[in-house]
Amino acid sequence: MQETKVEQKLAKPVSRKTGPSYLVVFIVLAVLTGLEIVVSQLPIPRAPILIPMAFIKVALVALFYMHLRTDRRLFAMIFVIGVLVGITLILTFAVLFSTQTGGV
Amino acid sequence: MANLTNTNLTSPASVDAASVEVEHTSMGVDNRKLGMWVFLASEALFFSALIATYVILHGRSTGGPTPRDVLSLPLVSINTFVLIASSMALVTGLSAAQRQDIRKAILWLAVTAGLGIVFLGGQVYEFSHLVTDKLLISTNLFGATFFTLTGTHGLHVLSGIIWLILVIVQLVQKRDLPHADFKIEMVGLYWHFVDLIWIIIFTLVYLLI
Amino acid sequence: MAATSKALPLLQRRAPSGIIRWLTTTDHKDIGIMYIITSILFFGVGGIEALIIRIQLARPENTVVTPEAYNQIFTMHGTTMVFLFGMPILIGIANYMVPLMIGARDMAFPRLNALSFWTLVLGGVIMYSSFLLGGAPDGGWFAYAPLTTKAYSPSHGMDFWALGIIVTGIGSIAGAINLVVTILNMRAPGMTLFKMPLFVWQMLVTAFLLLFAIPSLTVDSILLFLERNFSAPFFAANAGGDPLLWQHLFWFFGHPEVYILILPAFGIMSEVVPVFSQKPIFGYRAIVYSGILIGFLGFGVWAHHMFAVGMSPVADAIFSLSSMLIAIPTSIKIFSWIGTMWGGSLRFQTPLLYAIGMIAMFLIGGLSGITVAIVPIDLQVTDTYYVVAHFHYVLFGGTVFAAFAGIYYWFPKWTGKMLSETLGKWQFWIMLIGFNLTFMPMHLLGMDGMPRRVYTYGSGLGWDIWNELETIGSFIIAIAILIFIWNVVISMIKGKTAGNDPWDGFTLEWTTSSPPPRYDFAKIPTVHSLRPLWDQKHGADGNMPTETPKATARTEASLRPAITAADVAVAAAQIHMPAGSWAPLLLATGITILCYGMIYGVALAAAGIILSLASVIYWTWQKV
Repeated sequence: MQETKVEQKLAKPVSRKTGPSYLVVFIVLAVLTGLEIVVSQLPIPRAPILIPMAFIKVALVALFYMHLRTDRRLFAMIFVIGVLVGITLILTFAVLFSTQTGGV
Repeated sequence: MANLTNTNLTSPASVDAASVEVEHTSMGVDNRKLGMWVFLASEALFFSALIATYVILHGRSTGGPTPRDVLSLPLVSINTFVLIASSMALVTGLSAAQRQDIRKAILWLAVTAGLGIVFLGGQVYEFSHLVTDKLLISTNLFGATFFTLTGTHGLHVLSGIIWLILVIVQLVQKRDLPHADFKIEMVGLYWHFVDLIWIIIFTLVYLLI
Repeated sequence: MAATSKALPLLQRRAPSGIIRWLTTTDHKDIGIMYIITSILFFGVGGIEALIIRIQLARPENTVVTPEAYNQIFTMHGTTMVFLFGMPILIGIANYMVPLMIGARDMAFPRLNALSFWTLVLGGVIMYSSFLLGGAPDGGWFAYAPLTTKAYSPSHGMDFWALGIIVTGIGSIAGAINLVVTILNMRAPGMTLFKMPLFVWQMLVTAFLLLFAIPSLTVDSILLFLERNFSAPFFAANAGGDPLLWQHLFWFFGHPEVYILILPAFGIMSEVVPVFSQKPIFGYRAIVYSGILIGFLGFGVWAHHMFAVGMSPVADAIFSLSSMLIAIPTSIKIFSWIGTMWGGSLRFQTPLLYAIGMIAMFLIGGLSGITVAIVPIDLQVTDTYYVVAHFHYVLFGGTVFAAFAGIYYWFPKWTGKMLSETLGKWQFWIMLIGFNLTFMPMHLLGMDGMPRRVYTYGSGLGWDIWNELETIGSFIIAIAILIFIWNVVISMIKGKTAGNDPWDGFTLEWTTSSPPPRYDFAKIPTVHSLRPLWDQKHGADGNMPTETPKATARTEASLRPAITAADVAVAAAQIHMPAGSWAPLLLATGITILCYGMIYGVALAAAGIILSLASVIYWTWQKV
């Protein structure tokens, strides 16, 4: 029965391993934030570094504090779909509006 | 019709210690938690639209002040640490509730709400300084998009604080509240989400100026 | 079935009666009925506005209404039909039917469900109160900035519009959350995802569309409100702002919205067509997957509403292509319905007539949709009556026809009475004729260059006769609607008693009484197939009826032993259903007062916030 497989998959946890403690995650978040502030002051192209760093922090919060890592796949799937549609919105809009400033 | 056994997944959500014991639901998860995640997915779109507005428009201001002129990184950095710490306080409270240590849980929830209030206070302080620096929502596109985005986020923090207070009052009222850890996990999902949005705002608005 | 299958020895609180019952109800069936009645009332209001538009346009240089009033009326016609009729009637039908079709006893969050309904009503009140408070919205239902900014729309109308949209949006999001959780998590034992009725599947996709599309509109409305009231220059080109941002955000919502209005209609079709063909649906999975595909593609086509605003040729090409792609999953569904009817023993009763009418009319709308997806054609006909013809064929010919199919199909379940077949058939044919007379000539007028939204037009342009015919057609539609209302009234008084299963149905809703008891099912059924009831009546491989439909009564009788009188007695005494609550109505009222406060001052806003907070506290502590 293919259909029950779909549901079983969604009901599975993403991971069963015990991960780092909340405190470790907090320290990583704090250190990353500190690094971000430092990077933001450097005379280098910052976006390619800062945006991935923000994503790492977002992923840490979602995976550990919001328990997506050990919770049902269903939750992760629904949330990730929402986030992906949102990122698509931001990127498409950025593209659409940048060509327009080019005078098209 | 006599066969009432659920052929679906009925295993209780043992995976996650914080969820309440789940009776026969098709996905074997609690309705409220599923609903919360669905809501957060929708909220992700809400903030995406606001962030897109900021990204597109804030640089098109025809006059000052610009972000560089008025934004104060030290103040906001402190605020960011405060919010991250509040998330940490909340999960510590959740752990306490899972160990049935309701007194500690209440304490940590209060710390979370307190840090939330500090964050909001910081934001009010920041806004009032911007106003004295002649940046209003009507001044230019930076002002318009900045106040809309961070203001909406601030309102979410405020809602989170109110929710936290409601949970704290419930816990104080009734120490043996059933599923206390579940209630904390639910407000936690919302709170961490608001924190998560701030991480993005912090990078896009304050670091990449 | 969290908390519902538990048999609690609770003292059954006496349900309140009369108006209080309706104001405090959390029963998905009551809420569904209120949704349907409210949306039909708004359909009447929007219909009257349409008639005023048609009277004004019946002759060239007419002056039945002033230009200002005309702008307000066509704006509110569009707004009403989309937000206050189209979405609510579909969500209302879903509210009533989804729990019954999946074998649940209620929606997942009964009080949230009531909140959805009350925000809809009060959002409508906010928008319509503007007529009395200095002028209604007058910038068109898609409210293009800068036309809707303070300079060009100085009354408070657009403020009420933006606030009303935000408030109904809250309700839509809450309703969508409720639907997703109910459908995913509260199915009867054995009903796997791929044993769900197709209406439920389409509602699941629709709910996700609501969740991902509405926020964009909410943000847009917030921006508009801030621009109008606090001079935030989002859309002001002279300050660097961009009017196109309004359009992109609006249509990022607006195009998925089209599928929000049509996918439930597809779902109704996929229930009605097989039952009245007495055959299983042809291509069940094809319909499911095409529905999901429409959902995804629906987010990638929004800018085809904006070909004329000067996007880059690349953007035009991409959005044109993706728009045409949508035709594929849509036609898969149409083929499925035709394939279902093919070789079936069709019963030409009113629901099937509407379903067939829907296929034909929607097909015309779909085809004209493909033509306007082609950029050069769109540039020619954009903002003309051709577009008006197109979307009325899709939304009236599609959604409204399907909604009537659904209403005629499920009315017996809702009320226990059959609607009159004779009146139903009269209504169908009159509406079909009136509909085509009204909207078919609009294709010609549009190609001939008649712009939409114009207050009037000059004589001698060759438009007079078509406009006159359209006006006649619109009154014929009005007659059809009056027949429908008469049918409802007369059938409620002396209609035939329906019984549990008047149509020889397939799905679970026909296993319980009409109307169903508060707890829907005395025993939660176990599902083994796509057509649980049919298989029970006719055997698992009985594709053709073994009995004539007239013998259904006997079939029902043979079903009875499954649920005995004792079961019903036990169910009535022991199934704990949530009691009513004032909290949803109070919270919705608080939000509404807050909205008026946004326009009329801080004191009112504070009152709204206090009431909202109080109702949240009441909500939290109330025992249900």
